[in-house]
Amino acid sequence: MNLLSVTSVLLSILSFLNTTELSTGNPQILNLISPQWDKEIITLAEQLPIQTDGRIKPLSTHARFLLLRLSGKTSIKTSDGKRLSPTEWFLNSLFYPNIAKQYPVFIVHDQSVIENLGLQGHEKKRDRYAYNEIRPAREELMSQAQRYSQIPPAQRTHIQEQILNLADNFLTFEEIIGYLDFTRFRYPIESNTLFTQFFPDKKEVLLSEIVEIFPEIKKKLKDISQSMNEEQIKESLTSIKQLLSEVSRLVHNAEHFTVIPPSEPSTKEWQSPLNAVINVFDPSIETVPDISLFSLFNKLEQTKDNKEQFKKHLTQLVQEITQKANKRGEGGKINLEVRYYKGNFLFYSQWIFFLALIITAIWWLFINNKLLKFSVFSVNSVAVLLLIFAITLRCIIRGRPPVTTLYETILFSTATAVLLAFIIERLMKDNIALSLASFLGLLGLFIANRYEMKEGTDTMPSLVAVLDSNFWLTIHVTTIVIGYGAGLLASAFGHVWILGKLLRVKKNDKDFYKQLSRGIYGIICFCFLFSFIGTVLGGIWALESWGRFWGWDPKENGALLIVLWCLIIIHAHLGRIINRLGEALGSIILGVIVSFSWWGVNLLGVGLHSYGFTRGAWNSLLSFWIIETLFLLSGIYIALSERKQNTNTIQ
Amino acid sequence: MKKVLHFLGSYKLSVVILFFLMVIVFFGTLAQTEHGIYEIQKKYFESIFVLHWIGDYIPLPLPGGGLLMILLLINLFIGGVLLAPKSIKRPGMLVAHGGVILLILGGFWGEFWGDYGQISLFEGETKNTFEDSRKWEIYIWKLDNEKRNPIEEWIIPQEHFSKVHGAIRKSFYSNEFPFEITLMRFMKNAKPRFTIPGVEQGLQGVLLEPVSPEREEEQNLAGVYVEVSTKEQHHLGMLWAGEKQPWVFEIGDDLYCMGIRHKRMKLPFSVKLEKFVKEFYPRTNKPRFFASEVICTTKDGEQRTVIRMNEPLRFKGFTLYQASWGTKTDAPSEPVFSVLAVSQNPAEQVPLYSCVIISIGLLLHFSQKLIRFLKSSKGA
Repeated sequence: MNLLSVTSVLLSILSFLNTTELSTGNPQILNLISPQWDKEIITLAEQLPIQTDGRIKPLSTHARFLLLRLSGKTSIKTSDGKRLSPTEWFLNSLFYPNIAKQYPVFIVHDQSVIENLGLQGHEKKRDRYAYNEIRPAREELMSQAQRYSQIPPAQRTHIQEQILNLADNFLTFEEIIGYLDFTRFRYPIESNTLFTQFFPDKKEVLLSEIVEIFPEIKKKLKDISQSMNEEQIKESLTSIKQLLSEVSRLVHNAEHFTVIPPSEPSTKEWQSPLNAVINVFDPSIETVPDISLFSLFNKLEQTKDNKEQFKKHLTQLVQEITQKANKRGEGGKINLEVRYYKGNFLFYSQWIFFLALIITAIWWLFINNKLLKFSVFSVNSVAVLLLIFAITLRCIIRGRPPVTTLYETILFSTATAVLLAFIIERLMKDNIALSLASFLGLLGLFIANRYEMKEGTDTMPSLVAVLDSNFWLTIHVTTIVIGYGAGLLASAFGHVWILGKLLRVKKNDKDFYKQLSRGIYGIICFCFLFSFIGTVLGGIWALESWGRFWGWDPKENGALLIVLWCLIIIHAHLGRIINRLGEALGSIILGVIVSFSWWGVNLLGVGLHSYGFTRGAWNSLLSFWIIETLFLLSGIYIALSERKQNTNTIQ
Repeated sequence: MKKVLHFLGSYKLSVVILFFLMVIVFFGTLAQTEHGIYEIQKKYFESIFVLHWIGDYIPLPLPGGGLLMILLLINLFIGGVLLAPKSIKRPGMLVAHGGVILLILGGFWGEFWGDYGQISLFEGETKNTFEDSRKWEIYIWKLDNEKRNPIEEWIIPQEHFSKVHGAIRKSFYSNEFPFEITLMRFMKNAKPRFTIPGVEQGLQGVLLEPVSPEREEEQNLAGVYVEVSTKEQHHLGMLWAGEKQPWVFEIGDDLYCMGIRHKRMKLPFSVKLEKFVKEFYPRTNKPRFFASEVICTTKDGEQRTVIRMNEPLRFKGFTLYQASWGTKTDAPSEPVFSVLAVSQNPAEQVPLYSCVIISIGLLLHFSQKLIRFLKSSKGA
């Protein structure tokens, strides 16, 4: 009998089995109060390098986006009033699953989702639910999810989509709480003659104990198998089969992330702690695998209630994994990434822009006050510098140019718009561009934040093959996004023009509107320059990678629309076909086109640029377009009333 | 005459053309949620006129992309070059407009004189043709009587039979083949089915019926009915792209066969796939890279190259790109084939040159403007 074949068959069968019942530690002690982790422990845990979503990242990043995906927030408030950071929550879920099961972690946007499962919903329509609340309807949830997954995404109802999400999140959470099951698993050996030889005084043993001793068991089996009769062989094989089926279940549970860097440099996939020692059960392999990291995980579980011991083991674990990773040339940016998220630069930048907005408002009351103007400029500068600093850190962490994802397009175009506003202020000195800077910065960062919250996925993901070219990413994507930023700034100028006319601000100051118009036209030219060059460069990249310069793909068409509209305004201006009002309205339409090209085409969900697809932004986009339509209508109103005024004056 | 010239080169005309171009691009983009890109391209972007339907009830006649491009070219040439002020102080715009003309001309050139297609290769396989999976052709082979290998080939390209449907039939002759071929009822996408006995007539109980075209042009399976006749003999046949075996018939003592397949084009060299590598990001199904190691052989020798994403191979006027890969079935151990996109476009680099020219022109113009602006504001 070949034990290897037994192992592999069992492993393959069992890895497909869904283990619905998870053993989650000693049920006899239900310590339901959230543990208080030491600050040092949290800091250490944050820096643990793990591999997930195809890249090496700190545990804290993973925990952050996971919590965001599950709960829609980056922290969680427990029933005992504590506020947990993502890493604390993750640690609790790993080490104290029974406590974590009570945390209201699953966001449900509509309580009818819960009622559909036959459960009692909370009072609030949109609320967060705990694992234990949903657990009774697990089967119903899974069977509904199974049914809805057959329906094409476009045809699913809102509720069906949410049930699918909930099921997905629920299973993910089970993966985390079951991750360390292998450290808690106790194998009963009382009636097992093979194992009782090795553990004479015990009724059950920990898996780690078996792993330690298994090389000897293998050796012993080999030695005595010659002298065993068929009955004995059968008995020992049955006991090993039983053990292996348990082990496969535990391996399957520990799939959520991998954390052990393989010693083989060419192997890209890291391993889970149990998988790293799985060879110990293979009878054909005689070398004893390195079980030190596996043992450390076991020690962590055993000493979790002893702060000092736990800290000691965690320190050792983080150090050893970091060293192993660094030796492979991986995980070098882990600490930087931890610091990036801890620094919260974008959050601060957003609030400083807000402060700048308030100062701007005050400045408008005392427009000639130079000190106030200087403060507006300085506070805006601090905010934009923070933003640029954050973008730079992201570039360093990923080794990529500034824009590679939809999220980063928001950051970069915001920075562009604000800097461009500074430049225009310098050129025109009419206080308008500077006044707009804080508003644009605030708006951009607000949208970035909302987008990150809504998507709930890592904003520094690994890039699909076609994007893997820093050269083209730099020259094409960056140029296009500068174009977006300029388009939005032009649109902001257009709004000022319309609002000014509507509210009759400076109605006798013809120079004001003349200057404003010059600004609009100048920015549109700038937007055109970058959009055009960016679009053609995109075509040349497409030629290099897809074999055609232009394919009428939605994203390409979107960029072309911006170029064409800029060209229309420029030529209409040169041919004196439109007046200043026309240009102001034109710049507002430019904003609408930019939003369509930037977000709208991604929502269509077709085409080759599928790496930029997003969902659920329709509502925001539609509201934006409705508001812009109102502005355009007010433009017509202004035109009509000005004409009336002119006729009156002539008469 | 001067008035006409001024109108053709006017800003007004530019604005109108650009506006309609925008409308066409916008509708053509939205329509992609329902139709395949190839169909959209033909209908909106390469056409003379378009009838766009807003919803299901409101028809909106519009000038097509092809027409607009020609008009734009005329407008550009007259307004941007012929009538433009050619002062040494303002060279930027002249250069930029010239660049745009080059860009559009390059586009037309590539469209009309370029060949595009793809090659699918398993490891170890060699081919010297590539296929355009959007076009069809009918092949007729004369077979040798022993080994049944083709000894004579006759190709009828789709352009010659794409209009045979309804009552329209079309006959073809070749000097090398002793019979006449009549094609009828060509279907862009067809499906065979059994006939209802006594009600319908088919060929041996089967008939071909048209089905609505697939979203992706490449997935269509064309079909056509064919009649082969000499003075003495008549054969009625049915060709369908889904059928891998050709239709075999006998004329006199000779064996012939015939079938419909994607348009094939010859390469002036042969390509052998030595090795195909693909790599995913660890524990995900996100491709990290994929690459084909190929050997191109000509009479003069061979060249070994690795083609990967963003790094095509340019060889003897052809460009080979790593496009995708696939397997014939979903079985896990199924061998993988690599798909290389092939293009032969003499104007391939024109966009690059025009981009450089236009950029230079624009930068020149805008920096001149900026300098003038700065000077004037200083003066003020």
